[in-house]
Amino acid sequence: MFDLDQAIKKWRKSLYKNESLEDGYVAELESHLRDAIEMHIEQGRTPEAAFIQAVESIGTPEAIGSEYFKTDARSPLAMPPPQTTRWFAPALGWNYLKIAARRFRRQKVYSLINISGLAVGMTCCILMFLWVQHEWSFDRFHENGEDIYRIINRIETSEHISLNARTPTPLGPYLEKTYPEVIRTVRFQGFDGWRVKSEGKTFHNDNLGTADPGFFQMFSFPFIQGDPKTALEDRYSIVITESMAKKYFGEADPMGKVVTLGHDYTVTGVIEDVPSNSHLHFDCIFPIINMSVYWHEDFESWRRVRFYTYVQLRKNSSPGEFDRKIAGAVRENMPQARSTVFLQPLKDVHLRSRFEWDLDNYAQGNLNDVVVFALMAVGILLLACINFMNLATARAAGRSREVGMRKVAGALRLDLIKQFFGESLLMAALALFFALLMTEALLPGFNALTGKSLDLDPAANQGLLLGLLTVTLATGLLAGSYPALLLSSFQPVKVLKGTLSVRRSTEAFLRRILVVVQFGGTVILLFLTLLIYRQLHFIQNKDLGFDKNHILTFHNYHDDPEVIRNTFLPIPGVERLTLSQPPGRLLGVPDIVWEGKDPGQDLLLYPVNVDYDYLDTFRMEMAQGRFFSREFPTDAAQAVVVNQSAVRAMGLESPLSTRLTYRDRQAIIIGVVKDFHHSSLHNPIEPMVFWGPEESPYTCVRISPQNVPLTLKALEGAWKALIKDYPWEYEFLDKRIDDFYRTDYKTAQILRYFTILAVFIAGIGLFGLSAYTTEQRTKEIGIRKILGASASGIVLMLSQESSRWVLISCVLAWPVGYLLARSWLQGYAYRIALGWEIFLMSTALALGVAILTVSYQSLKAALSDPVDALRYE
Amino acid sequence: MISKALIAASTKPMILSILIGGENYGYQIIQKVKQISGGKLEWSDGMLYPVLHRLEKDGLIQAQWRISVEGRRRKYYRITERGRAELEADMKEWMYVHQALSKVWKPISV
Repeated sequence: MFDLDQAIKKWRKSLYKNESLEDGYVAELESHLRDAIEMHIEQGRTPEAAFIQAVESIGTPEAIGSEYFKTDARSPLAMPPPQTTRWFAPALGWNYLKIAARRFRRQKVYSLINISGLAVGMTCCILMFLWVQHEWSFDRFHENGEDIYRIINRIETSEHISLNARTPTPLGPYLEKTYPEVIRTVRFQGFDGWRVKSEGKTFHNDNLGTADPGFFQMFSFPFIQGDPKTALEDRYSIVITESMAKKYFGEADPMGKVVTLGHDYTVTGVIEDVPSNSHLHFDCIFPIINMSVYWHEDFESWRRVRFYTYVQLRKNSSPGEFDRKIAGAVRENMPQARSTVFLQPLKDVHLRSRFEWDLDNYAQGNLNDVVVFALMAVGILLLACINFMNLATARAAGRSREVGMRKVAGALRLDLIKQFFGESLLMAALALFFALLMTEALLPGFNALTGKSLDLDPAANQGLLLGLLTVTLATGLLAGSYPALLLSSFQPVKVLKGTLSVRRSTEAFLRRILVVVQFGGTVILLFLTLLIYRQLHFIQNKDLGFDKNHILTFHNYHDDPEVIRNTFLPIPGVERLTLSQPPGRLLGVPDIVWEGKDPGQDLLLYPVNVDYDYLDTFRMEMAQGRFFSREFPTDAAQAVVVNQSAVRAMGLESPLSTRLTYRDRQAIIIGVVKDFHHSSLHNPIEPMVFWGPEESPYTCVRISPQNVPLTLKALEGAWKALIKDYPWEYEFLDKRIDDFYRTDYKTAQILRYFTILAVFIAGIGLFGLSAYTTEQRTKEIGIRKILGASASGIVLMLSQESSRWVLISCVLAWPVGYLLARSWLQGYAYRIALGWEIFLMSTALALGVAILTVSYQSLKAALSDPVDALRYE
Repeated sequence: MISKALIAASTKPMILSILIGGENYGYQIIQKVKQISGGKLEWSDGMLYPVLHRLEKDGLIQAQWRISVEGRRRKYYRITERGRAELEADMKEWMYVHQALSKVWKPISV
């Protein structure tokens, strides 16, 4: 329905768009229009037709406007009449570019600070993006990925809950048999260091995998040769990767060739190399049933917990319901078991696994790290954006004249906003260019740090391309937002008259707030870095309760312990030797029973296999009683030693002579070892029970600190004479212990880089800002000097201001830093106290950086000749 | 049709002449022009107002906003003394031109 009043209103609006038409003119024209419409209606037209006719006869707003303009303009040469069609002005675009380029040229330092800051921030973001993207992509390439779950084993005692990534061996087949929603289950295990022979060559550094025959039907590893459905059907078949095929057989066709792993296996399939974003990592897969030979595995026993079980569900089944149904699966088969099982989605395996006995032949991810590092990267970029905003607003006074001129020449606020956003986007684009160069240069180092092989290829990586665009746009808009909105709001009259000082104070206040935020973030990073390094220092220097230096460990490949002792012990430089388990991860068992044990108490105790020389080799100390001794023949079978933690956990008043039963063995406690740290300081000292001499897979040798290379050579010679099939491989115990903290070291290193960047960005930001304020106060400084101010007094005056704000940001950063530090330290059972010195040190560092950057400018100003200062401009 | 230039030249005397007969507002002025010229002087309605504005600025006419009987706001224009003098001068000029042209032209029917 035609609404005459609405139509007239709209028409009036169209007139208002023309800037030549003032209110009075429009009112008069409207009155005319209404008269005309009335007349047309009287002549019998419809309101709509009348309106159209009347509007037509009045003429276009431009035509009328330009007539009025001719009347109003003082001189015909003054200016062309404004046009309403101005949505595209290419000439203006050139002008914007020219102005931007001119500013870059004239203000080299500021442009450099801005662009380098943004580029550094963006580089962080790009690197982190690549990293997060890779972490996130783990195990998402499997076709059936959505339906595959890993089964996790939850063992609960009254004292302790442990989540174990391995499940009882018969669980998989049992689930497959019992529940119709299961398509198939697959058990998997991976290991390395085995000797593999083929065509006369021997290798021992391949990742071997063993799995049920359905493995390649469940997981999508593309086959180059062979059939995924049947490749593992034969007991002695093996599927190898492309690069393993190359390594073993060169260019020859690997199909049907033989690989020897104790038994001969025939190659029945070749797959593409396992991608780096797979948590299943292997160079070959052979049927798991062969483990009955290698590990004497009993495939019927629910007590055996050595494999990882994966289950693939039917598409329409409910995983939640299945999860509830299978919880008691272990107890259904072994009523005394304390374990329940649950599902873990395949795509969570990489990032959300915090389980014991997880696969360790690949680097497990950690969701926390991913989130924290991604946030940090964005934070660094934010710091750089703050620099941009700060410097842009600080320079605003200088640009206000340009704004005034543009406005006088007819620019609307929107035009100016567009111009300034355009400028910041241009900056962001330039920064992106440098960031890409920097990323390319830093990527090898970053890969070494993170242990990944990421590459920068936006053409092939659409996510990255999108990410780059987003980062550039976001940076440009964020960094440009405040200047664009502020500068465009200037009133030309005030600007050109030079009376803009009203806004100065609020603006300066905002700048200070931004500096506080910036330095606050930097202080938090500094604080955390210091804290982590102190904690790592603490770990390295903590008395572990034994001497970890000059001990080397290697695998036993000889059956007779006496032969090993007799071979290595006589070597000069070898002080002690024990065939025992070296410090490292332990597996707790719930079924050790002692005299006076409360039947309701479930306690996980950690058995450790040791021989007579264990205590002396590691230089541990006894708290009570004695250690195993060859002088007591009964020790071999009927004695155990416990540690102090075990005594406390078992609640024994006088531990000596207490009887202990573990499965089919009975023994009495003959001694108590002083507590020592068997595993990492992340965990409390486990209650341990040391069992007398038994076959141990490890040999540990204490060597003299003198002539280490010579001793090592002699050991190697002895090894080669004794064991011909295996290469000589050993590990120093202190390195093995350092490896407990590998991820901590990595975190510390990454954090250190972030901190350096943050300090750099905050520093250059403050540098730019202080350069500006000093420049603003040139005259004041000149006058002060003439009136007798000393150079040091001026430096103090100029530094005071920024130091005050940095101090405030430190105080604000403390509580946040404290909370973060506390939650990080909670990951360690043994940790440093959160002392004041870390707070003070981080503050001092931040303040030092601030004063250094500011004082350069202040000093320059203070030492300059006041005459030059007063002649300024 | 009358050429644009001639219309433009005749606008001022035309408006002033109409206003000699008493004060009036824009719409009515245009209607009168149409009436007098028998539709031969065709103005774009909107063009009248800038001209009125110019005449007002030059002090030839005076304007006043008033509410009409129908309750509509209208701007009424009235000729000033200076406007009358200007019109007389204009009339003389136009008559000279008219007489001169009449002498050389044979009468045609319009």
